[in-house]
Amino acid sequence: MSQQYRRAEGGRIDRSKPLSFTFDGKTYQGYAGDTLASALLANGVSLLGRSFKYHRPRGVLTAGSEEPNALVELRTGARKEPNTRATTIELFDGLVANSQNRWPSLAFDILSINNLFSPLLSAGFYYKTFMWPVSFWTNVYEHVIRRAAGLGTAATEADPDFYEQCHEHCDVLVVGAGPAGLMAAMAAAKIGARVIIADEHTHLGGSLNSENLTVDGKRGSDWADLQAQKLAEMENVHILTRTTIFGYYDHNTLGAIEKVSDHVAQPAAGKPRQRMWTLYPKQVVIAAGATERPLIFGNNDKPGVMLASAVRTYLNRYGVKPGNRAIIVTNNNDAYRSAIDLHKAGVQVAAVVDSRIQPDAPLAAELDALSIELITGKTVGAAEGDRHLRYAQLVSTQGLTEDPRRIDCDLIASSGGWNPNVHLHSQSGAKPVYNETIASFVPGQSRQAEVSVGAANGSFGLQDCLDQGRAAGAKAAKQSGFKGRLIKAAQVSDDDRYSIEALWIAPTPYNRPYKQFIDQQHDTKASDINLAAQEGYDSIELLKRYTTQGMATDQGKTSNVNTLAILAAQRGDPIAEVGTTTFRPPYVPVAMGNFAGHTVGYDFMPVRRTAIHQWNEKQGAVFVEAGLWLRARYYPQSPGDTQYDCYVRETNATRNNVAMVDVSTLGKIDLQGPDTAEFLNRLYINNWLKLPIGRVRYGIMLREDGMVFDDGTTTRLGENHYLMTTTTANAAPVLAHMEYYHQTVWPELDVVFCSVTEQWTGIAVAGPNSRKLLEKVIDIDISNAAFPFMEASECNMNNIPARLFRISFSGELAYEVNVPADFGEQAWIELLEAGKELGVIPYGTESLGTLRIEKGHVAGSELDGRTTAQDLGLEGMANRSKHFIGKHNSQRPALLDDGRLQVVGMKSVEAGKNLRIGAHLVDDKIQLDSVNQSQGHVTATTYSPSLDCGIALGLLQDGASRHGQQLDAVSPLHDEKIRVEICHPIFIDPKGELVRA
Amino acid sequence: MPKTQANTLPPRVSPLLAIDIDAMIDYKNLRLQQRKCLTAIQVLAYTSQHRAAAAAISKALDIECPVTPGVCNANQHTQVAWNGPNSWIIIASDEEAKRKPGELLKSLQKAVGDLGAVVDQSHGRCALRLSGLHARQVMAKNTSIDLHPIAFAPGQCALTTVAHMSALVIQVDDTPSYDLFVARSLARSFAHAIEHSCHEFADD
Repeated sequence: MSQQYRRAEGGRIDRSKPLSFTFDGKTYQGYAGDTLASALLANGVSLLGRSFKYHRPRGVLTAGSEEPNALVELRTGARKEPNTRATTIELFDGLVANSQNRWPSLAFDILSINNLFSPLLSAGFYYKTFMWPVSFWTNVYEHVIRRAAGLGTAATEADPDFYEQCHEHCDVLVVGAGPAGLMAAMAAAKIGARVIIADEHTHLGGSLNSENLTVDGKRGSDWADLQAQKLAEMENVHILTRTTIFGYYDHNTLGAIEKVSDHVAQPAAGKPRQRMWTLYPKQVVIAAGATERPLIFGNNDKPGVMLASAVRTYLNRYGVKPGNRAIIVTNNNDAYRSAIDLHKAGVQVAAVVDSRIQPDAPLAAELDALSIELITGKTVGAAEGDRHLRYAQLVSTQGLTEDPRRIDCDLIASSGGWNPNVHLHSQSGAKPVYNETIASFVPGQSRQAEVSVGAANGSFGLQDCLDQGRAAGAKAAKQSGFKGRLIKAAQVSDDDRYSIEALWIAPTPYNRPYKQFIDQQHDTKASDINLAAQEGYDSIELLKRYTTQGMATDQGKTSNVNTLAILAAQRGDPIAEVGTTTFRPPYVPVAMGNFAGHTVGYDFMPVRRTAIHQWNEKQGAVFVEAGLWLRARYYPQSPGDTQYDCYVRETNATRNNVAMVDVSTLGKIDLQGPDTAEFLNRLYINNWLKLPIGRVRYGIMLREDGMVFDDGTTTRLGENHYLMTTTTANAAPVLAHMEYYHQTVWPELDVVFCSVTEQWTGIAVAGPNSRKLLEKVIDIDISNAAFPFMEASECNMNNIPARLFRISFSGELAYEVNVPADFGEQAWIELLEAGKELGVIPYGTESLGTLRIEKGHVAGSELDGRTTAQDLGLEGMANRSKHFIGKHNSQRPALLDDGRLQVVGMKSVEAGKNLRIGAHLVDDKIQLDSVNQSQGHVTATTYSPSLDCGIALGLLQDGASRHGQQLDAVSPLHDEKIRVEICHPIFIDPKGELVRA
Repeated sequence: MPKTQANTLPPRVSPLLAIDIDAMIDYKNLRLQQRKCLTAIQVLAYTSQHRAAAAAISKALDIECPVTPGVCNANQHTQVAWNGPNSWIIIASDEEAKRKPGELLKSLQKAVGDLGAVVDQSHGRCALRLSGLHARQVMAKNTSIDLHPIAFAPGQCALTTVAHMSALVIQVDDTPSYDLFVARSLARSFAHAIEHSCHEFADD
């Protein structure tokens, strides 16, 4: 018979929409509106999983996100999601779920033998047992434990769905849409505030959907629907359903997770699976409700033992009878409602067992009227049964030792009292305080703009919830700057009076040792708490880590307060003194994908492309990442061309003919204003006051500590107009450095500057034939006399407005053409066209590197933040008669000492052997594996086509005076040693005649 | 030496030409287009001349040059957006830019003269216009600033990050429509991120 536990009517399910689903390979039916847990219970399936450590059979304890037991693997293949709570999975047609942590089957699980060895698996079991030998930990123990102690297994394929992030600001954020939350949202919205109300369920209403309550003369769930409808019609209200606020951070920023597509088999086109919201409210009203805690008795983890409130939720919200014959065990008034609701639903209620001597008289009378037996001064000492509960054994709570009474039942509805959900309050930085009256923690002094109302505030009566919500919503709106009238109060006719006499742990029948579970997800028992305390872990922070209580995916929502109470009893201290551990986000598990949002794969980092990128792509160029930039590294011209083939060809073309390279990525900063020259003079170590218009100068900047920061050229374009270039890597840092000095140190200098890197495409044309090429396209005289080295001018290049600079990074006769970027590709193509008969080819960064090493130009690998101008052989540029950044610190004694690393060139003296970047320079007497004998290291290497040998730049102790010496370049990592001859870092044209030709 | 002919500029090639233009969004309630032939001029007034520079710009364009952060004043021909202390980004409408290329730069150079720097950034930026009923939702996926009508309305602009990239956001009208300016080199990554955020509204 299908759905034999389904009630004929009632509940927020749609009986006209049957859904088919599979659990452990067997197909069942449920209804739209069900959770996986409610649908399984409707089908009489009460065994849902095996426990973490002892592999004990487990069922459903709760009806919400606090569930410790009913964890399943949801979906299959790439969409498989382990450790998903069956109590929060919305049923959809075709849903597939499997139980986890069992083998070979859920009903018969081999490792349930762990249950028999449980005396060995006590608190701190890992620390005690697997101490020796140490090497066994990673090699043996970890593997065995991971297999045995288990959760589900993750999918092995990439997640086919995407996640996204969203931001929203508001005046009032209401967390939770139960009676208090609905009133708060309505009160705030009516006053005019921008309101966001978030709830983890599909329907607003919270407990009103789970309880038989009446508000304003209407059934609770109908009243909630009406409120929801009114809120939805208001423009200033944003309702987020299926959304859990999971974290409360500084500056009143909260994180939420919206399960956009978890209730369908796969997301609709364009829809994410989940969406992470970052919310920025001015005021927060926390109406997050409360979580019931279970009573602690023997075998209290047996399938069939359920929270009393969960029983009502299954009955009233899902139309499911969670058993046929029930007993209610409680220490407070609230669970009586479960007895009444069960009775109304036609479930036999064997007894209500109240640990108190004096129960609430009206409630006792109500039970009497329904002929339900009320047993006082007793509680359940143990639950018995095999894979499901069969009977309960009662014990006296008054120290009496009569024969335990036994009551047959297949359902125990247990209530140990209610814990306000103080998680977000605690995450906001506040400290919850212990309240004796309700025997739980309630919110303390607020640290941020938040207030808790209703059950989250420890006020469990419905009228209190409605009233507090209304008042807090209105207050929050007013604090956000709105004025308006308070909405009408909602009325409840017969309200519950909550009262509790704490019973933290039940005596066991005949004082026999029973397993009394506190943290059911991590299999932490009362005896583990006691043992840990005896062993000295009696601070709650230590105890938590030693027993792992509260450290499972449910974060101990049903077990934390019980743990504190048992520890307090063991220590003989009041609970308030034991304190709580700190609640940390996230409140519910959040899939990692949400934090990445859509910045995965292709979108992991933005990519910067030059105007010539598309042309490069078409040419089949191989790219290299330079920061966010993609630069052409080399250009294969035929299949099988290696990197070596390409850069040798490209280097030879530059040295012997003409070639061109895209240098658009270099930083370009436009400076203007009457004080620009003075500003430059302070930034750079060399002179800038007398640079003529139309001339380019190379400059070096130091950091404040005297180390070289960056280098580049600056051109004087006009009377007060300069163009600075920086290295690609330092484009932004140099601009920031300039902004800092201009804004804070020299605000009196009238100079303005901005980045124009993006505006211009830069193309370097280099090689002995570069002038011949450019003469065909440039409309100014560029003869050596008219346009000498380090000259600059505006011009046109085949009708494209351009700037031309005669500068050279390669050491050859060379020019750099800048054109506005939208013309960049056109200019590139026209240059190639013009140079066709000369045989011009493009070159990439690999060849660029070879050319600069041959020319001994220092770059990023030498400007490593530890080198001074002197180390780099550039000290001669500094004008010590003026002030410049880093001047004084560059003269610190240690920076002038002998023995500093100085830049050198080196040649491999072993034919055919190229040097390796990072290799250490050592004396030949030193053994390959010896340490601390390094005299320097190799910073940049290449095969030099011009010299036909491996060459390198490096930093060597007193290198400038050691040209001609031979050393070994060793790389112990590669077991490699190559003999090198130290030389001047400039290998090509040391007098610089070529660039001036 | 070749002779240069006047007014024979080659066609401009925008940074988004490399991506499939058809893929840009054209839904019932959401459009994403590139602003072509972008003319965007950055003006940075010298500290000593900032008041005079603002006045000169206001006069030349017949638009109040904003001195308050987050303000963008516009008429049908031009947008003037606050871009930092004593700094503005001035954008010609697409029609104007197409009809009279180079005109805005010339008039600003003339107006500002020695009061500040006039820097052409037309080729250095990519501008997208996101428009439609769902535009605000698309923006919410990509930027953390408050774009609710109470907090951000036509005539306002913001320098912020959009899709993790630095951007200038100008609200153009109540549709709502937003102009999004990013560095040219990031155009493809940026457009891709915004497009991706639009897809869920395909049938809306």
